[in-house]
Amino acid sequence: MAVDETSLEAPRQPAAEIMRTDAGVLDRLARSLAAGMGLVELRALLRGDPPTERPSPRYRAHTHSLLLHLRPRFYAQASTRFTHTFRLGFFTTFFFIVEAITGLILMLYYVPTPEGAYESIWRLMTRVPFGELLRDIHRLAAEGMVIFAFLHLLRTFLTASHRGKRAFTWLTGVFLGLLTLALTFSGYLLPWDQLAYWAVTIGTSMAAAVPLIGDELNILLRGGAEIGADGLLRFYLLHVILLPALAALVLGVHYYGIARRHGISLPADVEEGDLAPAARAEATRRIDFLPDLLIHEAFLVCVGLLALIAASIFLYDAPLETHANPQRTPLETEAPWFFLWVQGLLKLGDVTLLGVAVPLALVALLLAVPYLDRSPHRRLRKRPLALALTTAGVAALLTLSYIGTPRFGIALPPATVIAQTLAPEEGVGPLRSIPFDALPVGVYVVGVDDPAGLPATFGRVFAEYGRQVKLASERGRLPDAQAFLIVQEWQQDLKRVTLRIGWTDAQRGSRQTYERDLYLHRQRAGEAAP
Amino acid sequence: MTRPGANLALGALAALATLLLLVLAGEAEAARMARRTQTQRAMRIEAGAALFAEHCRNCHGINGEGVGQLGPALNDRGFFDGRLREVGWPGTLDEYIQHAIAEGRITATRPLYAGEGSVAMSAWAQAYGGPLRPDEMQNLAAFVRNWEATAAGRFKATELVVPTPERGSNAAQAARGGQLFRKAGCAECHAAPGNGDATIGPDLSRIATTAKARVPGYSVAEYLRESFLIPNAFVVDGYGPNLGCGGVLTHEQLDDLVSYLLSLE
Repeated sequence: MAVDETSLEAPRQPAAEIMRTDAGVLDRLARSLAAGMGLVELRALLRGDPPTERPSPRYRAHTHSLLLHLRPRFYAQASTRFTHTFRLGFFTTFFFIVEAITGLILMLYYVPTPEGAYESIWRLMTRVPFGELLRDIHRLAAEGMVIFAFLHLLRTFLTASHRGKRAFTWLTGVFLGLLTLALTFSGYLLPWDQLAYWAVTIGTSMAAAVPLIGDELNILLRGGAEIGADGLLRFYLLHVILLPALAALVLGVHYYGIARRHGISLPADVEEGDLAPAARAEATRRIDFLPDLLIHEAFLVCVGLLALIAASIFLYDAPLETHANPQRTPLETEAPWFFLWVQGLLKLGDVTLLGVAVPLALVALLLAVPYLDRSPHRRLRKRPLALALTTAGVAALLTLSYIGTPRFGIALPPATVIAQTLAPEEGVGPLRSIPFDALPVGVYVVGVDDPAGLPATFGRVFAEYGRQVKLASERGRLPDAQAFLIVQEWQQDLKRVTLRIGWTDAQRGSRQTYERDLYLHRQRAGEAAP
Repeated sequence: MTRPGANLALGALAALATLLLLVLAGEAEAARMARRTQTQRAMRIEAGAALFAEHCRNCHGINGEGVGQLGPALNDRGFFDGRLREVGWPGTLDEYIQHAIAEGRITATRPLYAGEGSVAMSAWAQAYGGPLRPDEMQNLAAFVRNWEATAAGRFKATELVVPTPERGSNAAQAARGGQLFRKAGCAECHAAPGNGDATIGPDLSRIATTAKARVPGYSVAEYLRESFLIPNAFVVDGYGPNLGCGGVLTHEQLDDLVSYLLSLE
């Protein structure tokens, strides 16, 4: 009995054939959802195959879909090189979108009043699952946005991608940079802790130095002589409505230039260099948005999210100090790190000149860069002046930021400095890092008690205390210094630690005493009860 | 850039890793929130302790043990077990403490502490003209409630002899105090060498010696300081209550005056 075995099998059909013929409904559905691309086309897209129809449905998609219409159809291969852009602009935008999403969720819990703000942050951290993570991400992405925007600006200037028809895009970029700073700064006040309150008080006090309208401007920002309920509400609304809306608008204008007018610049060596024809052809080869760039961007988003979330979980905790207290100026107030350079400028002289005029002049200079920069070259080695100015500018920013740190050039009394180093008013510091049970009750006198005989962590802090007192004493700042460290039991799970430094005041001819008490609870660092 | 396959694979891997991270973090969220709640309570108690030392200890004692007829103890069993019933408070102890701080007392609820026509305890809330914000009163309540273990006898702080800070009892300071003794009007009632011989108040000519035996448990310096801060804390037999003075001294002036009196042996 001869059976034709092959006739029992169904005829082999390529997968593409099945989709085209058997899945008509599905295909129509796909076309309606995916801007005209059918199943076969989508499959080819994901596999990196060439388009399956002519004219290419991939280009057609850019005219059918609003979102794709905002994106370019292709870039030249060389302008997508990682080492050309480092994806800095992309990640700045990525952070902006992360901020918008996390910010919207945070708005569910935040209460913009002096009585409720601080409490609502604690509620977020103690009662809301993932609440602390959200806050950490929001804060970290904000700082990432500042850093990436700055690096993006440097990159654009160093690759000379700011001239000619790109000049307008550069201008919008400068405004975006300013909006980024304003957004971050306005958000800084919202937790309503001492750190935030005083940093913003200093920041807004610079507005008062503007000639003619200074006082009015200051009151407009603060909502009164000092920041209170009105000021908080103003900063809140600036932070969640006005500034994000402006930033989204300017971002749109900024990106439109790139997507529709001039694209991402080609690297200078492609544009100006002496490339072999084959290399030039490869450098200018089209890389289509669909699928290559889109998939690459999805990849960047996934990696960015992973990095951001992992850093927020393992490395970064958004700070939250004690409740804002308008009646108590901290010993050391610090501007947000991205404004430390302004604080540094302020220490060098006149507020109106250095705090207002210089920053404004800097902004004007940045805006004028495309028109001042007359060099015909793009390659960095032919623009020594640009390189020198950038290096000098960055070095100046870093130096000024260092000058802006609280300890630089501010003379606190020596005993206060010692107490502030061991047990700062805000934050943790060495004394507060000692585990509760490693704080032995007793009176410890510098120069009398031997740190080596004390429990390890406590002994180290006590030795450091002694070292600093001795140093100040030797330099004549604390004559006849006598220093105590007193640890008392105060309540259950609560100890009082007193730093007491006595010295002879040469001018008044009497003994002076500086004392700082701090209360340490066992569970401050989440330590469990015994 | 031209390898969508690698991008797809790595991107998917990153997305999976993110998801895994979030799941793991989610598993730990309950414990984290509990830890944070403890931290918040700890920070409240720490801040409350500082506020208590700043505002409350003059009347309620450094360790909440109460001061004479000025203020009742807050660290004893009566306060934790009986107080709410005594005043018929329907809410929690925490609410009671916050309320008492905020509104104060027009008159005392116990005869011992009745003010004589004056307010027994002033209102402390900013809303009623006091210095404290709502969160500060919450902190104080957390701190006061942390005496519960002390009140129930479960906790007793280790005794520690803490040295009194040297306030510079040198000649210069005592001399300044002597001048101040005249200027501030002390000499109008009290006699002191070179500073008149008024007899309205007790003679202070040898106060550094006589004060040693006045009140058991008080050093001379402590006795003198408290007499300045609370004029009728100790009234010497044979004299009426102090009605005359009510001046304002800086800490340094107080130190100078005490230093002066300590020199009168």
